[in-house]
Amino acid sequence: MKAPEHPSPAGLVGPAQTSAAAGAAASGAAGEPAAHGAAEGEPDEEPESEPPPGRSWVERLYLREIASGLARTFRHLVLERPFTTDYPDEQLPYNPRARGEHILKVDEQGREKCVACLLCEAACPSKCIRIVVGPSPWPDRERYPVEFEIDMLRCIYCGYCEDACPCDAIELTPKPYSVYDNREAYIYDKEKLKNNYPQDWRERFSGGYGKLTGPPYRGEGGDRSLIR
Amino acid sequence: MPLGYQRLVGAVQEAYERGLLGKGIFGIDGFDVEIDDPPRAPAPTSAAKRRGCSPRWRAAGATPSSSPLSPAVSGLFGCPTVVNNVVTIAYLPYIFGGFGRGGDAEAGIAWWRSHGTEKSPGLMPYSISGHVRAPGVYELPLGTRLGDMLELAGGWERPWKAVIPGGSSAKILRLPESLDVSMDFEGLMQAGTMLGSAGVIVMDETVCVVDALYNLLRFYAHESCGQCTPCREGTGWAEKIVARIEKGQGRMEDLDTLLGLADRAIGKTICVFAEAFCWPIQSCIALFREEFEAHIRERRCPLRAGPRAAAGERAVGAGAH
Amino acid sequence: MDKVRFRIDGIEIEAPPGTMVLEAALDHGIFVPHYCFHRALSVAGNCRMCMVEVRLPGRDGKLEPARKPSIACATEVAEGMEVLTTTPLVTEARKGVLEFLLINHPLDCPVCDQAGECDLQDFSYEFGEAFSRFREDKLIKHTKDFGPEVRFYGNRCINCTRCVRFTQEIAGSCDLVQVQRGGHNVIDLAPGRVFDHPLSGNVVDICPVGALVSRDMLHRVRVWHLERTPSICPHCATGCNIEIHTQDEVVHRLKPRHNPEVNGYWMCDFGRLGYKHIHAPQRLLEHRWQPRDRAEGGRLGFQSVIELVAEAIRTAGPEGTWALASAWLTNEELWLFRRLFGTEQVALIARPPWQERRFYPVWGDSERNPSLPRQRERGRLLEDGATFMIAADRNPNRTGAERILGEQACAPARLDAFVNAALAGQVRCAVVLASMPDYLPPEPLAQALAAVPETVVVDLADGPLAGAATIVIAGAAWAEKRGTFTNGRGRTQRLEMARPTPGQARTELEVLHALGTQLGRPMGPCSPRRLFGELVGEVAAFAGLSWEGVHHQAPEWSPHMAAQPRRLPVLSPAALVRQRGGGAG
Repeated sequence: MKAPEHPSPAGLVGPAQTSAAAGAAASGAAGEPAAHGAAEGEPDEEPESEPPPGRSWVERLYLREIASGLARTFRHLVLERPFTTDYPDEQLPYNPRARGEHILKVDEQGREKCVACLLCEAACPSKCIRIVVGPSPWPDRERYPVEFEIDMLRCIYCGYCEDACPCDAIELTPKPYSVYDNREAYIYDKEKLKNNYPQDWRERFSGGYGKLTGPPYRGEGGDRSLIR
Repeated sequence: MPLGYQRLVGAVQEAYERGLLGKGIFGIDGFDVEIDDPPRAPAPTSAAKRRGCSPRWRAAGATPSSSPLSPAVSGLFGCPTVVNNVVTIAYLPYIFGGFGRGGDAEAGIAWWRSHGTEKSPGLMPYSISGHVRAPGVYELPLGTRLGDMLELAGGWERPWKAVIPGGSSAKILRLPESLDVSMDFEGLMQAGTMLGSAGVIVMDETVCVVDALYNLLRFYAHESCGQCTPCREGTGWAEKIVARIEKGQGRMEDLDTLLGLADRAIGKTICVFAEAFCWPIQSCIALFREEFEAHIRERRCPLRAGPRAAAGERAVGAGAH
Repeated sequence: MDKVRFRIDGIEIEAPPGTMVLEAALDHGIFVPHYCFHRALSVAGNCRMCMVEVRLPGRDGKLEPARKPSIACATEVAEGMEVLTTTPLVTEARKGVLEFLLINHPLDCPVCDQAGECDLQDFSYEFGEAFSRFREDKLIKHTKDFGPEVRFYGNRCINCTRCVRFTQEIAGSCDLVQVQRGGHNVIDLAPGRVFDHPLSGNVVDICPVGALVSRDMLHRVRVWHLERTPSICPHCATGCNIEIHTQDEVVHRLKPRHNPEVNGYWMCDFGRLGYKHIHAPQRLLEHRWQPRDRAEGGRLGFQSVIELVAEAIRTAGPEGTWALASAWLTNEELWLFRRLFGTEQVALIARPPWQERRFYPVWGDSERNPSLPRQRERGRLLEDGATFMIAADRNPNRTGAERILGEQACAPARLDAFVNAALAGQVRCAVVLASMPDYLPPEPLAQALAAVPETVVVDLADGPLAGAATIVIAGAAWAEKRGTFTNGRGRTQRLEMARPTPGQARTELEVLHALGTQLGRPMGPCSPRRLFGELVGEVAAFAGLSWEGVHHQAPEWSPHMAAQPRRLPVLSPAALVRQRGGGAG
């Protein structure tokens, strides 16, 4: 081992060595074999590596590091709240851009925005969308979906339907799943899709894409959520 | 019924009455000359010429069709066809028939050659309109200097700004820079424009070129027969863009769009109507770009509050084609 | 005649003089995009999409580069000409035309029925740009129903005038005209007209964009779901080559398939809408036993019903058994029918000729349409045999039946003989293979069938025929079987199975085969192909035909694309990235 001599402050063994190695690599152009400098990244090459020089045996006991580590552990144990949540009593909110179950959007008058172009159906890789087209009852458009069904068991939540939609009518909400005790319930019809994203869910993500501005979701189990 | 149509029909009727048209005219058996009723359908400007050669000319609407390579060999109904302007036909008796010169054809030709330039001999009825004191039709020798022509038409109290020398589709020329241009086929070609129909449109400094172009394009959008895609869509598009610029809602990229659409329309249509509406666009932007940019920058027509308001006049626009 | 030698994209081509460059290019597999050009119509040259660079040899024999592109559809080929379809001049011209076409186009592909088979989509994708510089308000044009079959969306129209020329040159009715001018140019009905011509549906086919759409299929399906089965229209003796378009075994539309010797690019609206009976609610879906004298009866399985029929035939004996075939059976079924029942105690039932006489292109009718001469003046009527005409005979295979069963067996006299025998009580069992839609048996025949003790009817729908039967077998519609029809001019053509028979229904071939087996006849394997082979060997009129040969397989379904080699857009990743940059147009 021809690691370069470098004063390494105790307790910073790893980082110091890394920076030394980086320095060696940077200056390695002068003829010094740079590969030896990258000791940390290649443990297999030097299985019986000697301890870094310049450290006394007292330092090599690492008592101080153990103590600081344990101190942190106990501090978390005692002072900090747990990182885990008590699912399903409390649930972490999903990223607003997460792709969960679909919603069929409606306009101000409560009419579907969908014009039944079937592009989502064409784009769907799992063929979980079924639309029956009909002449629209409204004068401002010609066609609308008489029936619109998504089989949530077949859906892979890829979001292609959302991409394909020319009318911004279908959207994947962060609502991750639903639980039912029969398969038929997973075939969402038009009414269910229109109301699939209830208001309390919507409020949590009211800031639009990429921003989580709503209040933290607090499950029924209490307010121990870590998300502030 | 338009006045021109009435006169044409009247003249034909007169010729029939005098025995100049019909069966066996001049007492020669078998010498039949018939003139069909002129088509009544409102023909878009440029349609008429080419249309004469279309085999569908009675059945189809007034739209130009692909003209045969040489109509004099095989034109309408596959027969030799001669299509000429009225001016040409009107001059024929004077040149070759020696009309007014005792029937001496040689004298007629010599008389014709005594006018104009060597390459463009003869006379031309110039229709001078716009900002001159005495607008009208002036029959002048070809090759007359533009400045002389405009003085002949009475001149104008304010400085001139631009002239369209050969009907609305000819490229525009700047004045006074172009006052020395020779008004014949070659001279105008050299100046980058054309004699065309010899309709000279003069504009003084109160005229907003953008407004004038808008006026022209409105005319072209109305006159396009709508057959070929580039012209049908391009005329309306260009009109809308220029209207927007004139209203002060233009963008700088609109000028590139205008030039781009002109590039894409020229040479892509059956008749030359695409060229007809694109050349004014190209020449106006080329010669008066700063005026377009001023419209866009100032978000208004700079002339509305300026010289034109003082003159209290509207711009002159399209005249004869 | 001398041929003109010239080059397109470097390929040496010979073509007769007078050929247009576009035709020559398409004939030789070089695709030039075009909208207004259609082989069956006159050249208009107004879409400007087919522009190519044409270089002609100058005085010195050298090719002179073109200053501007020419339209390939109106440029005649010339000796030594060099045509280039991929030069920058051409690609720029195409981009320009597509940009112009799209500026006033509503880009409503998601709700447009043409989406998926739209030339504007395809060419924009392949030759156009993914953006538009148009920032103005679009022009709005009218949307209206031109007729019972055709709806017009003016906003989508590109004014190619194919439809106008179709009504002038093919239909002869001049129902559609182009009105207004310039950008406001739009197709409209001629004053006082309704576009209810029997060929009106063809304008939907030839419309390269979604301007003219079928009201029958309006918003029903998206074309990319449709499976296409080549077949033959059964509704008259013309035997138009068609394609059956199905989705999930449901027939959604019929489209003409190009066959220059039969129907050209066209088909009539009667045939076009003649698929409704396949999905009619009255359709028979199961076999039935409804004895006249006994109270019992009811639904039966196929084997049981065949046993019942065989028993009835055995009981009746050869003298007491008559069999009636319809002119809607395929040649193969008729051949099996002949093997089973012979040619003596058989007769032919068929639909009566057209009653309605207002449409003009009818052939084979002894009393020609009285309105024919007037309409002949209005439009160009092609010579008999070359034009599109509807046959007076509303049955697809009368000729085949005459060839297989013999003229005598198919004569009306034989049917009268059956009626007389039945009414005289000499017929103990009658087997009727009808499978005809909209068939009303004439009164004597209905009475005769009701008088026969055991009447077996194979039919499509519950109707008077099935009502007169004691045993009803659910049969197959023409779209549900393979076989051949011989049209009124003696041309044998193949139809293919576009969907399976619904419910318990069986094809007539299956019925006859099962019946023969039950009766103890040696039947052997009975595929349509094998039976056709037997037919070719045994019946002189079919000699020399082959199963493959009778199948006119046009490469493309679409009439405006048929027989025109077509280079389809290739979805390259780069193109996809380009397309995603913005909405086309």
